[in-house]
Amino acid sequence: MSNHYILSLLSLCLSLTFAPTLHAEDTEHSHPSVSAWQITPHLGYTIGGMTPVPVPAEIREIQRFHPTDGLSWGFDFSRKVSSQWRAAVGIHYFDRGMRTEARVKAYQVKVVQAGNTLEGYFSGVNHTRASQQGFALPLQAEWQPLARCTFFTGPVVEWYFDRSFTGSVTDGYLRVDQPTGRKVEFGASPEEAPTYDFSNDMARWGFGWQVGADWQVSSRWSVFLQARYIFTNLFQPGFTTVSMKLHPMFVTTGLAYRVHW
Amino acid sequence: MEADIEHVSVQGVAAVRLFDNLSDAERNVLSQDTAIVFHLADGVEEATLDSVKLDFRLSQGAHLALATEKDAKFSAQRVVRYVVTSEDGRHQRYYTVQFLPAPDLGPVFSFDNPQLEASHHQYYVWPLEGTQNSKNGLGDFWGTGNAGFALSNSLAKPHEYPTTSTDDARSGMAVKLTTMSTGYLGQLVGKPIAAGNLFVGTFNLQKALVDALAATQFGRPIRRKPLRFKGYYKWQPGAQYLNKSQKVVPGPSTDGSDLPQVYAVIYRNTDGEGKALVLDGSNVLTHTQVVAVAMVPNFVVTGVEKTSRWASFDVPFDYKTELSIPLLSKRGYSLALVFSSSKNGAQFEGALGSTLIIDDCSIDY
Repeated sequence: MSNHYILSLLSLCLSLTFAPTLHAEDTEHSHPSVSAWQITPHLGYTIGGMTPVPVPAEIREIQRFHPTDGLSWGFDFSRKVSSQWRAAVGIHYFDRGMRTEARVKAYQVKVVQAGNTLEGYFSGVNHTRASQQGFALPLQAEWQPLARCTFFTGPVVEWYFDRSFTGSVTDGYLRVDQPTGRKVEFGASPEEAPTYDFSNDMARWGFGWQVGADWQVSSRWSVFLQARYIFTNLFQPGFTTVSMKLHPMFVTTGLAYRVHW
Repeated sequence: MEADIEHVSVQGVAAVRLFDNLSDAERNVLSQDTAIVFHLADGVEEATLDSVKLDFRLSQGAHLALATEKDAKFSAQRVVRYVVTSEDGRHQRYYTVQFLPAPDLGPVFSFDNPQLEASHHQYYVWPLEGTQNSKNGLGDFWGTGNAGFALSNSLAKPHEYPTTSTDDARSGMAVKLTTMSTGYLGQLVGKPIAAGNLFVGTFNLQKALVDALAATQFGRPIRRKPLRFKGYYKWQPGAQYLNKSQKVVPGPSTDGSDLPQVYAVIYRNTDGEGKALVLDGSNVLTHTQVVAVAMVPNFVVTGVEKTSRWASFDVPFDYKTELSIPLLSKRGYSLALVFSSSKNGAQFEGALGSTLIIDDCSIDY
């Protein structure tokens, strides 16, 4: 599904860049957007992952990485505050995720359930699927130094109404309590592998920062590239089973359409 | 970070002078074991042990050193301690190595002296009668699945384990085997129930998840020929027999309820090339090197109250082939005794609450 609308987005972008631009001669003397208020709907594709920063030594190798889902659309409302600056607030919907396989060594794990605790050091292959669906509220400062080119940056608050974090562990072993503790092996077949589902331990909210650039291809249409990093942990505070903090890091690209009044 | 001894072998002296079989001169050390014992052939002189040198294979990058300052000389009773340090220097494990005369098994098993397991005191272990060394009292233990249950139920008390001690006994103490749920963590790894089990052998925790049948390693060497396997029991099946997916299905008994399983097996413990053979849950009744089986054919539901009457079993060993006396005197046969509160417990099928209490078992040699 995601491949389908990448192709449609790309073909749309390509057709627009070759289309004749309107009011080309005006761009030398004035900025294309002269109105105070502007609403910019957009449609994009978002790709990235939830990663620890920095990647700890326990993760020895990322064997596989596939982005999943990826639809993003939204609206930005902006107001001109000076000749080159605008202030903007937006509502963006996103559906993003990843599938990954990582080889880990002596990765600390603690599982607590109904008072029973199992903790230790896991070495092996960790398979994870993670996804988030929700709305982001970015607050942006937009800077337009050139006619066609706008840069923007600012904080963003996200709210997730659908979250998922599941996976399994294979081809490895757990050493209980200490690296010299009781050793229990896990097998290679995914059907018999221990599985986990930490979806309900994921945070409902996230806070982060985004930065991006926008390139106008015609009077109203532009293509954009935006990078977003969430400072807060993917999981709720107090969740200790995954000992690393995971941060969503996603890049979104797509088409935007300006409407002024 | 790890500091294990993975393999040890005896060098420096003709191993054939110390051991019945060359395969006894080396050992793969289970990750859960820190006491390494070599069983000597009968009549070995202490002086022969002076020239023993050991060859170790350790965790990658780890180093081994003597834990005692003095030169380590092995004698029939001396325990020599080693310390293994991990590659990063941050972790250590202590191991002991001993050379002991080879023990006998039983002949009477009364289960009167349970102890709490040494490292974490979470569950009971039972000394295996007949294997205790007369000088230092150290010996072998019965195998149970308790170590696996301990991982999924860290809060459980010793009397809450599938295999526990009970004073509901014919004499002294008895062993109570109960089929129970393993809880959330057990279901996470696809092992939703645990049958209470007790067997002559070793429970290899390392394999408990990846190959549950291979984790129960059965048998200890014997040098006398067993004729009969006897004992006393109380039995109460649980209410609902469940299959591995936890659906209610008819059980193995004629009335659809659960059945326990009690049997003894004798097998040749070295193969044609002299390599050691240990049978496990996957092959202990079917392997070609099994020479005799004593299977308890049916069980009476006695109830497991203090007032319930004890039932008894007395089964002869059914020999497929005659034992070779020379091989028997070199401990070339192993005997396994196996008790379980659910016959299909190894396939994670059984009735929760099925309880088998056993006491005063014996082998007639």
